[in-house]
Amino acid sequence: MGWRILPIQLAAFLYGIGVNSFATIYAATYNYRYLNLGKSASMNFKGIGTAQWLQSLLFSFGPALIFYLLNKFAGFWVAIISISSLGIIGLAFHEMIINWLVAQFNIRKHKILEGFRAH
Amino acid sequence: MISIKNLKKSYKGIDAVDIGALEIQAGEVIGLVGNNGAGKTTFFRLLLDLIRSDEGEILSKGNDVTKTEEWKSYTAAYIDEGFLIDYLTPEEYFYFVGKLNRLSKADVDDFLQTYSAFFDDAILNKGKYIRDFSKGNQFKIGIIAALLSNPELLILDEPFANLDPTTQLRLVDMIKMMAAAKRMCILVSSHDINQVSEVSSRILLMEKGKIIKDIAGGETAYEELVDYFKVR
Repeated sequence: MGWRILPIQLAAFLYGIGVNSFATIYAATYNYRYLNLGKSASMNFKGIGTAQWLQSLLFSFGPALIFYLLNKFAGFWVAIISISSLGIIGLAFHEMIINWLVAQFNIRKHKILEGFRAH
Repeated sequence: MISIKNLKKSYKGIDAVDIGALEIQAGEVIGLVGNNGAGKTTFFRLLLDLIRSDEGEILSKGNDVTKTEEWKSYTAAYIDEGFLIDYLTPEEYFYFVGKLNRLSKADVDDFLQTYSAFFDDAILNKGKYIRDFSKGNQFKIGIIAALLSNPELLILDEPFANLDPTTQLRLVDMIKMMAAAKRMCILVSSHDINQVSEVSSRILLMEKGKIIKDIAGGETAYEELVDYFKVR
């Protein structure tokens, strides 16, 4: 592996900021359950439903799978550049994406508020 | 400032709020009274777009509150502990609200200084998280955080219910001062007809979602309210 770990980490870093950050916020707009941050971490399984579990799986293994497939069939550098570009595109359009996320939140706002009141 | 038309909200077939028309002008201190379940809190939530109405509209300075966001820049409220971030300390929360309103830490500190009597040495520099404070003290934190944004419209849901007598009287004085000094509009709901008559310029009596009395504040208001609640 050796030196290859560096471009992989860079690609993951860019993807994390440019794609995963927004994807996480988007998923959060569908979160209708209150998560009590006051309680200790160990007993706090109320916020972890199957949706959340599936989400963490998708967000971490999804890009890893894409990278693996691209690396296998198109080569290492194609994979690196693809993952990085997705992240860079996200960063470049961040203002537009954030505005869209705010609109999404406003659509489901009342449902979220209702869920958060019931705790 | 506030204009309400045909506002309706019902839960499971029962009207929680049913207000045909209501106008509230800047400079008014509105006392909202009514028995439990009359619709006071629901009405406030509708005003703040925290619940969607079934029918009707609420206009703040002419703009629909469900469709625009400008009203948020001059409106502040404290309805319940849900408004607080309970895993922060009061100072952290105040600085956070300050940041939202473009106030520096120093501005916030100056502001909090002027309310040191209100806090009565129970809130600041305690090293506690907001969730560990008593309900009354949480209310104090919520009210002061609401004032931090220097609002034109202030909404407080049953503030007197959760404060100790000294703080209640301090709050009455604060509201009177704010009403006199600025062109603020203050909406306060309460079960305490004493405090409400004392502080309001106008009293709205709600029953089963409707406003059944709309009278001027003062001594005669107190008499009328006692009359109404006694018979019930």
